[in-house]
Amino acid sequence: MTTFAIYAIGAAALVAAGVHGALTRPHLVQKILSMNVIGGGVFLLLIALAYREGPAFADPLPQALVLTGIVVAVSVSAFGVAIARRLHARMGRSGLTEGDLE
Amino acid sequence: MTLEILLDLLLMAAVVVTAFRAIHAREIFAGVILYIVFGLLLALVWVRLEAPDLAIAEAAIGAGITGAMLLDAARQIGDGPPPTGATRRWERYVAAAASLAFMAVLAVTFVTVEERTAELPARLANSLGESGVEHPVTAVLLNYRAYDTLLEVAVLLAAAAAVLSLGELRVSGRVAGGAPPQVAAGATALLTPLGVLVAAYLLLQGSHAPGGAFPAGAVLGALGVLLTLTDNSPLDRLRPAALRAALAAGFGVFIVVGLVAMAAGGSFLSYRGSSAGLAVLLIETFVAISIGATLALLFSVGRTGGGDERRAP
Amino acid sequence: MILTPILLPLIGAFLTFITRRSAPLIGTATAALTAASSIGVAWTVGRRGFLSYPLGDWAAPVGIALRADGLSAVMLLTSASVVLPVCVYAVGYFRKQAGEAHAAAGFWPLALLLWGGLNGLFLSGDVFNLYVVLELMTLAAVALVAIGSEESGLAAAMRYLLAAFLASMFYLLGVALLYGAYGTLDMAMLGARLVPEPAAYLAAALIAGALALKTALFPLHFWLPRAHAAAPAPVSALLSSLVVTGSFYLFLRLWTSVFAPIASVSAGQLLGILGSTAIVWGSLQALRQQHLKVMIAYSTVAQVGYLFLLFPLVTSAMATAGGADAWGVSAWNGGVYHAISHALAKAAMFLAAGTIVQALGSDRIVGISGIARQLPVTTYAFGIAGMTLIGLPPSGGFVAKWLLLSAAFASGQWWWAIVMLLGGILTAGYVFLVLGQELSQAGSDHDVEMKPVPRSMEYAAFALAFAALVLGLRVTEPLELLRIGFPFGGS
Repeated sequence: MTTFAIYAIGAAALVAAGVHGALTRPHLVQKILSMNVIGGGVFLLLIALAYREGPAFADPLPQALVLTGIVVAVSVSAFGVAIARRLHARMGRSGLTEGDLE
Repeated sequence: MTLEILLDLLLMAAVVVTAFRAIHAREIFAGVILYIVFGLLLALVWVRLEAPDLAIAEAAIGAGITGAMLLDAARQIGDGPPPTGATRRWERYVAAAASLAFMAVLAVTFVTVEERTAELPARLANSLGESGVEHPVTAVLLNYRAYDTLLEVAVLLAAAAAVLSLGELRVSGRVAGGAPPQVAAGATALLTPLGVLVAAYLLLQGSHAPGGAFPAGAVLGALGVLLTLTDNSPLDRLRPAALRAALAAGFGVFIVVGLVAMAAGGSFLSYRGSSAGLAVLLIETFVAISIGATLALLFSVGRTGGGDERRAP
Repeated sequence: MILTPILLPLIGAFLTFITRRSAPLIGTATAALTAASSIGVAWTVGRRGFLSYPLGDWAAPVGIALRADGLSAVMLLTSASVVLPVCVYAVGYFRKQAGEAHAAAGFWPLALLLWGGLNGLFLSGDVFNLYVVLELMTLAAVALVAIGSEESGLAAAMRYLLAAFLASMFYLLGVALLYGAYGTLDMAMLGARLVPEPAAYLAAALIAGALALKTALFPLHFWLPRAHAAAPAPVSALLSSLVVTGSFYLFLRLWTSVFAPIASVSAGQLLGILGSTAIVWGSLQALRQQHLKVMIAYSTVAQVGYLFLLFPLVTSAMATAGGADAWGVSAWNGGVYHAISHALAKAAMFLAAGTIVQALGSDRIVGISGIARQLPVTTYAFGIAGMTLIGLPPSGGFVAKWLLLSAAFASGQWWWAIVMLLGGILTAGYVFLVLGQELSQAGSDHDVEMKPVPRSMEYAAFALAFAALVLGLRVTEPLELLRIGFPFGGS
């Protein structure tokens, strides 16, 4: 088993666990947290791809992409948290209900 | 099995287990604490996989700011009755089985894409001499793919405009009923120059070693968060116009540098050699300031949503 | 040159963000300049053909390339034709919304960032750059929904944000797989290197799922109706016409370039089936709504279905030797023409609805009876836009449906024609339901206070509806432009 395989499988586990959490956990904080776990999984796949065994340097391109991704993720999460708080302040709610669809 | 592989396995298992427990923690607050641990473990993974730039950014942004934000939100809105999440038992089994199947498909496919070509990394390395910096990640972010980074700074501006458009321009202030400041004023007085110094160091180091605008901005943002937590937000002292200027400065300077390159005869964001070093440093300095200001703003604006506005359940 | 439709809105966003007082003026001026530059790019594409621009003078794959072909040019023109009237409308709309100063101030930078992102989407030739652009559009779009900030708007924005965030992560995962397998992010190079294998199929599935969620293709449409209905009217118009079209464009672009080697006929049929279900389900839902804006939003769910009827036809044309001449061209033209006509008509409809809401203070469909007498221009705008959605001649929607129908028959896939005709009847149902109310005499004696509405709002909606009509009368030029860089060889 190579280092790449270990981290690639870990990435798959993080993505699947995050998707599961985002869809099944009711609380908005948990949903946003789960989204960030998915992000962690995606970033992990990219960084594992960039890694080279031995003396060779890692591929800088995926690392740069992930730096961009981290900043994008925190921006979206922050706005999500801001809406969640406002939703709670105005309506005393911390989740979404089926009623929102009607 | 070598020792290295064993350590990899242990680290990865710890990351996955922590993530899983963070998502499924019974108490939301505890889940967020576990999420922060997850972020720090992930930073270790980045170190292990030779991505030190990311380790700094992850610790400061992923675990640091996202964690602090979620923690604050969990404290404010995490209590109370859980929203309607009463699913039937079989539904939960189906969801779990589907997720496991999904994971299996991902894992089986992921392992097939290992290191197919080394062509592009070689080309990136060959062009490094022209890029104006010596650190390859900085070269990608601020020269080869500077356009991506410009749009990413636009995303940050969108986030700032988004939270500001929700209303309430007053930035900081403790959440009503929240904990009192836990860091003494003396500590923050020491922390501020130190944080700025670290950020400046990271910024300058970015040209030849891990660092640059993003880690520097992240440190500034984390400093802003700390100051906000002690009711000392630097954003409070700025007039609204100055605040907006600080938030947008990185974006504006980035575009101007791109246009100057065009005026000099190249295409947008085209710079080479010694002038490239200057262009990169100029962009990075202002982008770092804007990232720091934006992250601090994103953290602190949500906090005013509570208190007086909260309606009795 | 090719860069200006992206750069101008971004500069405008910067200016409107820091100088809030004169934001409407700067915003409208930016919109006019950007529209002019979009026409310039389209003109150049029409004269010189395919354009390419290496950003930072780094050739792909080291750097990022912008590319413009006929499809990009047509999309740039569409976005310009929608945003410019919407900006004119917004000036009047937000002036009237007293006490919503921060909403108005938020609108301009966010709408311009959205537009810059959208034009960036139409011109990008790099799959990771598209991720950043998609995120820019998403964040701006969600924020624009939330600036209304009513309680229903917040819940809708939250759901939209979560759905879009999930979609972005799937998209990025697909990009990671593509980079791992083929070592490049450039679309043209990916298309040349991609071979049928697990990584390619998984990347295609993840990206298709992500874009279907962002385009609100049935059954992933759940977030759309509330978000589009709860937003302020100019925002609803931008989202329902352009943001949806943007992700559809990307779907089409990737399907016919990067994933062309593995685009299978059965996958095309699946998209067609989902599209058909969307048409029927969305139209039926629209018919039973009591609120005007929710009805129009469900209409978007249905109309998105038509866009996806392009895929079974185009895919089988790609798979058939010589099929491109027979029906591939019609299907391609028809699908894109539908996207353009829908964008114009839907924006007109939402703007007209916004005018009615501002005049009456409510958007209950039963409450709008007799409004035609007070707001005749708005009623015309709604009627003409409805005509395009139904597909009545001589509108742009008629041309689009005609092309799609002829492609369906020519390819022997007549079943799509049945769905299209059924959808047309259902659309006529909900459009005439509203028009009937507007024109009815019964409401003339009810004592609803009508607030005065700026003329500019009425005429902005009318201009959009009229543009959708003109699209049906001047067909040659847009189709000529669309031919440049057509993905099937030959023709």
